[in-house]
Amino acid sequence: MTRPVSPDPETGLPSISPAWVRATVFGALWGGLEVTLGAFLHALRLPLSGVWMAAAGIMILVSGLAVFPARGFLLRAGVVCMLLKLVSPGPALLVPMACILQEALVLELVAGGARPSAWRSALGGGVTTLSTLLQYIAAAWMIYGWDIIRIYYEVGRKILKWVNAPEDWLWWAIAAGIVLIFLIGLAAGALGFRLGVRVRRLREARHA
Amino acid sequence: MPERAKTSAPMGWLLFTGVLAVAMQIPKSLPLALGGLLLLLGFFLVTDRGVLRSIGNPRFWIVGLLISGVSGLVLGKRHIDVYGLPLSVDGLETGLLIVVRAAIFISFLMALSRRMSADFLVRAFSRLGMPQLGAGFALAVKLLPRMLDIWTSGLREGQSGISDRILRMLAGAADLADEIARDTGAWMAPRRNAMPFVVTGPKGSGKSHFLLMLAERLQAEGLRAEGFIQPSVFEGEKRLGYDLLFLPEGRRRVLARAADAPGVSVRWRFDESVFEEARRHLENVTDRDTTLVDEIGVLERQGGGHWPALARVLPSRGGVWVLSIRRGLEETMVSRLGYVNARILRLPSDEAAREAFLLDILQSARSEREKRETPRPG
Repeated sequence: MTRPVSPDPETGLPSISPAWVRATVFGALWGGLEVTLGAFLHALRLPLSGVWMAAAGIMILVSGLAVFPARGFLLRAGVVCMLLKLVSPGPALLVPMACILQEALVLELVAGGARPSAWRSALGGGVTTLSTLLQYIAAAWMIYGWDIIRIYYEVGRKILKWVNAPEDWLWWAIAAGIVLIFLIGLAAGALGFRLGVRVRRLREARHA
Repeated sequence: MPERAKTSAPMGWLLFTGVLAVAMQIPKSLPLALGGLLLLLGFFLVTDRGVLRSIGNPRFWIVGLLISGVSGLVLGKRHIDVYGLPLSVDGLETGLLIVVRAAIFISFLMALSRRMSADFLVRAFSRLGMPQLGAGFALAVKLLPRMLDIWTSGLREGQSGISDRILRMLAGAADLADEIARDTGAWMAPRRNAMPFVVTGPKGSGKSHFLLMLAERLQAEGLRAEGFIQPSVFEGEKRLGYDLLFLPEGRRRVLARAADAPGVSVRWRFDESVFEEARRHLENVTDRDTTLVDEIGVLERQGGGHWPALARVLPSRGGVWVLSIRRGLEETMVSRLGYVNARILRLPSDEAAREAFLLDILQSARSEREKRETPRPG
C-alpha cells in the first residue's frame, strides 16, 4: 500500500512511500555488495565475475520480495542500486549501470509481482543470469565488432585441434557454459526465495 | 568523483561523437577508423581531457596488442614471418581495427559516464513513472555506509555458518526497512553539511597536525570541536605507535603500539577497547558540533578501525565533519561514507591553501551554529 506523494517542504523531495522504502533498503543492500565484493572481483578479473555478482543481486532482491511482496519491488530496488553506482569511484560507470538495470528489469518481468513463488523466483534467476550473456555479446559487438567473435571461435578451434579433440566439442562447451550460467541463476533465485521465506517466518514468530 | 562534476563536453557534441563511434563499427577500413579515432581524441583534448587519461590506461593497450597478435595467428592465411612466427597480414589488420574501434567506443562511453549525473537519471525515471526515485536515491546514499557495515561485519563474523549469517543480514535489512517506514521524516531529514571537509596526504604529511591546529582555532572562536585526533608517538626518530586524543576534553588513550615481539606478523598491536570508546564518543556528537575524525585508512577500508563507528553515526548526523583520510583512499572512503562530493585539501600544500581551507571550515562551523540557534518559525 503506497501513500500519496507530497513534496517535503524542507528537501523538496517527494515524501517516500513504505513500498519505496523497502525497495530502497534492499537496493542499497545490493549496492553495498557491488561496492565491496563487486569492486574486489572486478579487480581480480575472475572469470564469470559478472554472473556471480548478478546471482548475488538476484538472491538479495528475491529474498526482499519474499518478505515484502509487491509489484515493481525488484525494478525499484534495481534502479536504486544502479544509481548507487554513481557514487562509487571509477570512471567507467555506464556499462555496469546498464547491466544492473537490465538484470532488474528481466527479474521483475519473470519473477516479480505481489505473489512471488519458489519456481518463478528460480526461473527468474536463471533467465536473468542468462541475460548477462546477452550483455557480453552486445558489449563485444558494440566495442570490438563481430570480428572478436571470429577470433574467439578460431582460438577455441585451434585449442581443440592441439588437444586432438573433435570440433563438435566447441559447441558442447558453449552449451555447457550456457547451462551452467542458467543453473547459477536458478540456484540464486531459489535460495533467495527460501531465505526470504525464512526471514518472513522469523519476523512473524517475533510479532506473534 | 569531484572530477566527474567538472566535465564540460557539450551534450550536442557528445551525441555527435556517439554517432561517430557507432558509425566506426561498420566500415572495415583501418585508415578510416584511425582517422575517426584521431578526430575523437582531438575533440576530447579540447573538451574533456579526463577521457584521454582514461583511454591512456596501459592495460587497455596491452590487451589490445595481444588481441591483434592472436588475430594475426588465427585469422587468414599466414604468409609473413615475424621472429619465426608465421602471421597473417589480414589477421593483424583485423586485430588492429578491433583495437582502434574499441578505443573509439570506450572513449565515447567514458565521456558519457562522466556526464552522467544522478539528477539527470532521477528526472528521466520520474518521467517513466518513478516520481519517488529521487527520495529513494537520497535515502539509499544515506544508507550506503550502514549497508557496507552490514556486509563487512556480517561476513567477518566467524561464529556461525554462511547461510545463517546471510539470513541475519537479510533480516536486519528487513527490520531497517520497517524502522525507516515507521519514521520516514527522521530518515529523510537533509544532512546539514552534505559535503564533508577532507584532509588527505601520505603518512607524515601533517594531517593530524592540521586537525590539532583546527581544533585550537575552533575552540578559540567558542565553537565546539568534537571527535578525535590520532597523533603519532615517537621516540627520537622511531615511531612507537599512535594515541587517540579525544576532543574537546583532550583525554589521551594509547591506541596502538609497535608489535615488535618475534613471530608477530602485524606491524601494530591495536587496543580494540579504544576503538569501542571512540565509537561511544562519536555517538554523543550533536548536529551543532564540528566533528574531527583522524586517520581513516586501510583498516577502515577493510571494515575495521573506526569504520563501524562512522558507518553507524554518520548517516543520521548533521553538523560539519572534517575527516582525515590516507592518500589514495579519499575518493573510495568519501563515497562509502555516503557522500556524493567533498571539499578536499591535499597535503603537503602551501601555507595559503591550508589557511584558506581552515577559514572555509571555520565559516561553515559558524553558519551551522547560527542555523541551529535561529528559532524556526512556528
